Amino acid sequence: MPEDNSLIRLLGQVLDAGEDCSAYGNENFVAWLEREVHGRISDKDRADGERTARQVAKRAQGRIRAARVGDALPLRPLSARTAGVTGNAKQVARVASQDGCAPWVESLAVAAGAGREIWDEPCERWVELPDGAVGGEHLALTVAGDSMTPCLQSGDVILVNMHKPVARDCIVVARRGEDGYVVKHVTRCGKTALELSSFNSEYAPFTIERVPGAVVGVVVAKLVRGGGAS
Amino acid sequence: MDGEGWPVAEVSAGAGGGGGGGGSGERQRAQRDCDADLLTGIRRNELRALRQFVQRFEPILLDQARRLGVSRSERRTVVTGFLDDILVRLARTPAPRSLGSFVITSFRNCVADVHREAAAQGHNSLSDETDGGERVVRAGCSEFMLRSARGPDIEDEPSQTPGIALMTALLRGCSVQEKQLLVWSAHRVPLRECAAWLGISYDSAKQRLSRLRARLVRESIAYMAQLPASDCAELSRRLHIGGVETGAHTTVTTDNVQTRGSAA
Repeated sequence: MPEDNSLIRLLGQVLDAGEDCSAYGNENFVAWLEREVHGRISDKDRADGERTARQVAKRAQGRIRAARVGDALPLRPLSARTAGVTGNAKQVARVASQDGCAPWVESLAVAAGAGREIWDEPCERWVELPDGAVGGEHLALTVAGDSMTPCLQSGDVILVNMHKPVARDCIVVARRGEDGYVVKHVTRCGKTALELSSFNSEYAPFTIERVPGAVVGVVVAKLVRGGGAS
Repeated sequence: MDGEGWPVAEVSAGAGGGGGGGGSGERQRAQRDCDADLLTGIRRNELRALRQFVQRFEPILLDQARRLGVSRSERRTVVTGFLDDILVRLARTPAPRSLGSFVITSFRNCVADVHREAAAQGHNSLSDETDGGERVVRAGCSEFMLRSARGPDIEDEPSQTPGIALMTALLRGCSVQEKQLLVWSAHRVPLRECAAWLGISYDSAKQRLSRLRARLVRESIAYMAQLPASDCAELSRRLHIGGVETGAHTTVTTDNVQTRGSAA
């Protein structure tokens, strides 16, 4: 008569429901489990799985890119103060660069404000350029929207260098037709066009022509509040 | 770009379940090569590699979630959230020795964290149907397991009920290999496979399991003999519901021990 394994199985279930993972350290068992589970999948579950796989893979692609680009984007303290002059961003920018600062266009957030010109916006504050920010004019802008999560969240302040050359894998602030300014990741960089993507997979990539004025500048740092901001 | 699937190692079950031995090594090597290719694809952020990974592991993780007592409504959310994180992690960290073991072990830790968080927040987000302990209740161990699986309750003082104490004592005395054998048995892995994985003969595995069973039943009886009659009867009744016969629901004597179907 075959021996009964009820107690063995009961204890195995208790152990399996706990935190002990020793049984799963065996590669053969894991491979066996895979075969078993996959063998039991119904057609409906398989179709569901394929749908989920497509969604997760697309999302993961954006998140992996965001993690890589986010690692390369330095965090600097946000140190803001009242601008030494009053006027629009263009007027403030001239003085600010001499003072080691960059105008902070608070009233216009990138990815919003359709049809408005950055340089015409009134600018009352500027941010001090962090150590290591060299060469060219800079501009501080506030991010709006969730298209660049998890790398950039809505409300983050970014420092944009107006003269840094655009390259693949960098983050840029660009003008998207009449939709206003957007902050996006450069996924393809051709001679005549740029492909810009969001990290959030819900937003589709798009292409812009590489004409003067299309790209405002390259994001060189994320400015973090609490680092001496006034 | 993402037309055909990523190459998958041929992991078909060996004929008759006795696929251990020589074929097992080759299969393992093929699996490792396939895992390495998959990881390279994930690192390159290739959509088809990411998709292949999800298609391969999602059903297993859903099955694990069920075993670990995640409620039906939460299972997919927990698994999807985990897949999101693990893919980013795999793309940025050194390759694990065994991809499958790494993913499943990480997921089990993730679920343990979810359970702990739910317990800490004080609201039981796990459904009755799937709670780790509740499944054992169905198997015969009732309220004690339910409480132990949920962790200590803030209002309740820690209770060491006879069922928990019995299971804890039995498991404490088991070696790592015995624990593996217990879990594999719970998954109904054929003994021939277990023997091959442990690197022993079928007869040795059979003998090992038989000795383990005899020892566990002996220890259960010894433990139950010390309990007050009411606790003993209740525990025995629960074990009986779960298909385990100790013979103690009438009278507990060390020479009246049998599991269903055979005398021990």
